[in-house]
Amino acid sequence: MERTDLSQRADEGQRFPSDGWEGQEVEARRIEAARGGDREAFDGLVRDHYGPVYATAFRLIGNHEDAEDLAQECFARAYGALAWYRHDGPFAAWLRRIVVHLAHDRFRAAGRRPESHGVPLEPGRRAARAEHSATSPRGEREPALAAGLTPASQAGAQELTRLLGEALRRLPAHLRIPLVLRTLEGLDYDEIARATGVTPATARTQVMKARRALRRLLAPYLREDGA
Amino acid sequence: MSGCLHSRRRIELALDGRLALEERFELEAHLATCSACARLFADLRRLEEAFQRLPEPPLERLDLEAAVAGVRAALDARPRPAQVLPRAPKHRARRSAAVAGLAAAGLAVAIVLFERGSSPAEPATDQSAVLDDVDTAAPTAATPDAPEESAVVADAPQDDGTRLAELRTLLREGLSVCFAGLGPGDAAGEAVARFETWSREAGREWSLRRNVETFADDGDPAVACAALRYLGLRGDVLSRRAIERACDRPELSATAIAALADMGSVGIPGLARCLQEEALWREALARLVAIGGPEAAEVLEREVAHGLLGPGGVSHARQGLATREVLVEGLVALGPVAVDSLLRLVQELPALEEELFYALTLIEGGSGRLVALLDKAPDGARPDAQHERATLVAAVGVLQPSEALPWLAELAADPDGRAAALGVLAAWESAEVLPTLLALFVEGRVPEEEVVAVTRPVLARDAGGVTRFAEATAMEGEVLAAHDLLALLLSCAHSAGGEALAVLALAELLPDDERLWAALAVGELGDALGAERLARGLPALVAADRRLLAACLVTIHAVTGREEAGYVLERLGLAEPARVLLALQDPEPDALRLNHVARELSRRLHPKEAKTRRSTP
Repeated sequence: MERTDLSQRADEGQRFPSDGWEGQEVEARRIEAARGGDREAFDGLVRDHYGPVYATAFRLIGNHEDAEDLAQECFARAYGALAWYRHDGPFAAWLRRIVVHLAHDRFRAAGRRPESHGVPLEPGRRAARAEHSATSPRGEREPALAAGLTPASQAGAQELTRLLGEALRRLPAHLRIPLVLRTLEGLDYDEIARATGVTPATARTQVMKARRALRRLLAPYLREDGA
Repeated sequence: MSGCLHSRRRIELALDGRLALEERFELEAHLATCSACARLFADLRRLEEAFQRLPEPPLERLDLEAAVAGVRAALDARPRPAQVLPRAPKHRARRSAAVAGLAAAGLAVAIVLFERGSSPAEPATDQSAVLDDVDTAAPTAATPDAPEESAVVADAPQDDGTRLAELRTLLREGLSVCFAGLGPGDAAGEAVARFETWSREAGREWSLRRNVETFADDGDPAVACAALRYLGLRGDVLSRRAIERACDRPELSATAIAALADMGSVGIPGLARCLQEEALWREALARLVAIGGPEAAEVLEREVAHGLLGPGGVSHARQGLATREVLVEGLVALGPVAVDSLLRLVQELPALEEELFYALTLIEGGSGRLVALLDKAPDGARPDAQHERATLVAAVGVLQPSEALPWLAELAADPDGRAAALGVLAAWESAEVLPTLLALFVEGRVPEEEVVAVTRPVLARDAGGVTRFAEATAMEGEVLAAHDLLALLLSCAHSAGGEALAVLALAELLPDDERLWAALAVGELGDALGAERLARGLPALVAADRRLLAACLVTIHAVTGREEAGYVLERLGLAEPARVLLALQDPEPDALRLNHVARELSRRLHPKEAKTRRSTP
């Protein structure tokens, strides 16, 4: 039953249980109660919003386990910060801001780890980078996007989609997050700006930069003729 | 080159679906001439398409209850909310300071101080702790609203007393001026608009609610009342606590209750608390009823349930508060939304069933709500489902909405619900239930004898309605329905069905033999109305089958006597009606007498034909 609900919510995109006057009233009461320490009320909020929060986390992080961790961490943080929620916007949007901040933190932490690398965007360094990424530290052959495979051997939309997932994970956080929110979450630039704490103009620029970066990374695979 | 720059901007817009039609034409024109831009556009389009093919989040793998448990476990492993106060990163604090300037920072301190003083619902934050943390703690990313607030506190100058006093004076004056002379019952929308204009001109609108809350318990009742009205009409759930506190001050309580009412459903929890106060419950109850809606009904339902503690429904603890009867009246005044509450109360408090069902009958439009609830009636044999279903059946029995009859029919077909459903059908006040009974009778889903037993009291209660149903059936030419109705009425063998049987006897759509049975049954049941009906319809039967005519005459004679039968015969214009009358008085068994009367009728109505038949060898 719950799984069906979640799938339906996901199908409906940005529709949340708090949509509609009655839903908002119920949600406001739950938030008030949760502020007073009512865990049951907070459980209700978790049930209502877990699906969308998880979906956002999955789109940002790219795998189920980490997305679940992130979603749970998001709600745990939200509970502690409920006093700061001012009812000046949808609760769902507030949660989204939290999950985005958490994802950003996670990307930054991953970026500081020695085994993790950002993707060099300069064309001149692409070949060197490709050479590096063709073999994992464990010596396994990776289907890396710049592993020397020719466009001809990887042609086709399916392959491009897989490589896009790879490339997306290698974008720096400040480009990746706005792009995911725009392209996969379908937010407008004002919403992206609110979620990431920048201005709408900056959000627009970041999305465009991210698109161009991806284009540079995936250039050989974007043209079926390999041109 | 500039053309390419323009086009790249348009490409971006096109990808976002925000390109106007005219610009799209211009872009297409450029792409036709510029291979670089065309390639860029094509690449980005392919990229967008690839995005759409990325796998969707596997929501089917989620286990919501496990997730809730996971969040709980994470919370249990974390320090309490008050210990995870947000901390501002240094760079944001500096940026805030640079942008806001000294005056804004001073104002921010004032706001934070106001908030701390007026919002006990929030975690107790020690300001010095917050200020200390700013310099030493690492940034916390997951409390997006928090850093700015902490930051402005950190950057605020300490000599803000003058600014704070100015702010308080300004708002206090605004409240006094804009709400002057308004009582709790007066409309305050205009005053709110004036006050918002006032405060906007003063540049304080962004923190108005928090600031006004500090005046809700002002020493000057006029200012406090103005603040309460403003907060009420603003309707922010966060202001409810401030208004509720004012309910404790006698000079403010009426205005506070009015403010809670102004909040609409948001204020209902506050009004519910006022129901517990001897001095406030009347006003609170009236306001609650005026707000209405399911939430108000739930509050009253709770009060009724809790009120049944002592004799008369009033416990010692509730002395001086609303009695159960008053609360039930309140529920009735709420209208159809209270139906759910009353039904739940019936389940909880079976001792009050009669009173609560009576209240149900007083609710205007209650039947409609009840019928809507029937669609959601639980199935299954679980005790709670059976209990709920039994309550619904009883409620249907009380309100008797005709729309509930199909539901009752379905229930009657179910052996578990049959007895209750048939009981309600048997007690139905009007004959509108007859089509339902007829359907049960014909479909065989309920044993015939049970349907007959249910139909008898209905006949006794509304014989006129049954007759009208028979007339409608005959008029509409529903042969099968008329046939089934005749069968049911004959099975019932109830005198109240006599007139309906007479209607069927006179109905041309039925075969003659069935009409004959109907006519004879009227006589055997001894129903005078039925016999009269036959007498009135007899002239139309002259051309019909002789035996049917004879049956009608036998019935009329048996029920109304010789004189009436003679009068009817005269009206038929028979030659020698006395012979027929003599035949009617034959002391022969019924069948022989019927035959005798039929023969006499043939002779009188068609003497030539009768003679010919006699002379024929």
